[in-house]
Amino acid sequence: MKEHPMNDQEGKDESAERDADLLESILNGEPMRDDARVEARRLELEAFLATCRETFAGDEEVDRIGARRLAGRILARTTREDLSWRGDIGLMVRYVKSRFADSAALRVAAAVLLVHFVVAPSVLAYYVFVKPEPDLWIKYEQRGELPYALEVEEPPLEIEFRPLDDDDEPR
Amino acid sequence: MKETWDSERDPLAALRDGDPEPFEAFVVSATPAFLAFFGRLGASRAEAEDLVQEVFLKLFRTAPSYTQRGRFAAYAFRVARNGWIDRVRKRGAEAEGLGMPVASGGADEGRTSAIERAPATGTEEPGSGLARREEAARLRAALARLPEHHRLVFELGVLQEMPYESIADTLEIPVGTVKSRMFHAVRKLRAALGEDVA
Repeated sequence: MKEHPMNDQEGKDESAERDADLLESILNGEPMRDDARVEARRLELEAFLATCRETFAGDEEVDRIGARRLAGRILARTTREDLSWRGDIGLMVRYVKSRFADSAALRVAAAVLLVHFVVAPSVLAYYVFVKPEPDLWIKYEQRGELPYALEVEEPPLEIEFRPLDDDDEPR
Repeated sequence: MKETWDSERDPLAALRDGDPEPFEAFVVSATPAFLAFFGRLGASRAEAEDLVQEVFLKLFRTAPSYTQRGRFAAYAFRVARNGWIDRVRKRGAEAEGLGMPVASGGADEGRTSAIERAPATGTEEPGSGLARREEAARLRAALARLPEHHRLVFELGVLQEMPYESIADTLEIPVGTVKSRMFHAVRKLRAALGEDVA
């Protein structure tokens, strides 16, 4: 006889509820019950959970050395923190590093500042002192005095001589 | 819950009282677990290391004002989970800023984490090796495909072995929700392995 759809649904709900209860009982470490049918299901679920634990248990073993190193770094920043000036410098370096890691804008600003205050003066100093480029600068040269021989001489004044007249009185 | 998480003294309470040893022991023992945790959530190795450092630093900084409420592991995982949520949000905001599509469900679904890419370890018998590796690969892929809220519940309950109450405390959700999410997560994973889930 075909089962009524409503009964089918009810059966599924009941089974789901039973599984949820069983999972809770297993994971909370509660003891088994006396119902054989329920306990068979419980063993099935327990086997599945054991498989899961076995599969993922290796995850913590993947990088033991890396994990130990990380734990060391954490302790160096917490209970074993260096309180001397070296520790202060380390703290500042870590802070700056974390800020840089967090903000792209800060990285760009720092790069621009670096170019302005370190790289540009260094390049400039190199070209000025080590390898001056002949055409790098515009030179303003003062015009020197021209040689004497080249000075323009003014033409001598022309003197007109004429014979004295009688009217002329000697000065 | 895992034994290593249940130290005699609450690491933060001890730190607050001037004894750093339990906290140091906790850092050493829990670092691999947190790395694996973030790796399974979808973080790359570098990102997972960054997140683990953030978690421990945050825990360390809260020590002076720390008051013990419930289990320490639940508190530590809550800090880890909040760190992960912040990271996913930040990643989403950056992707939006660059005009890139934002991955749904928190983690980058298409991206494989370092843990996911790592080969399965452990001793295997020659005959069953291939089948086991295939099964493990299917399980990892299925876990990576789970919605984040299901993945977190599964991670804390099954892999970190936390009781439902602690999971509810960690994720700040009711125990009933933990129960329902765990059921769906396990059902999906079992279906991925071809098990009978009816």
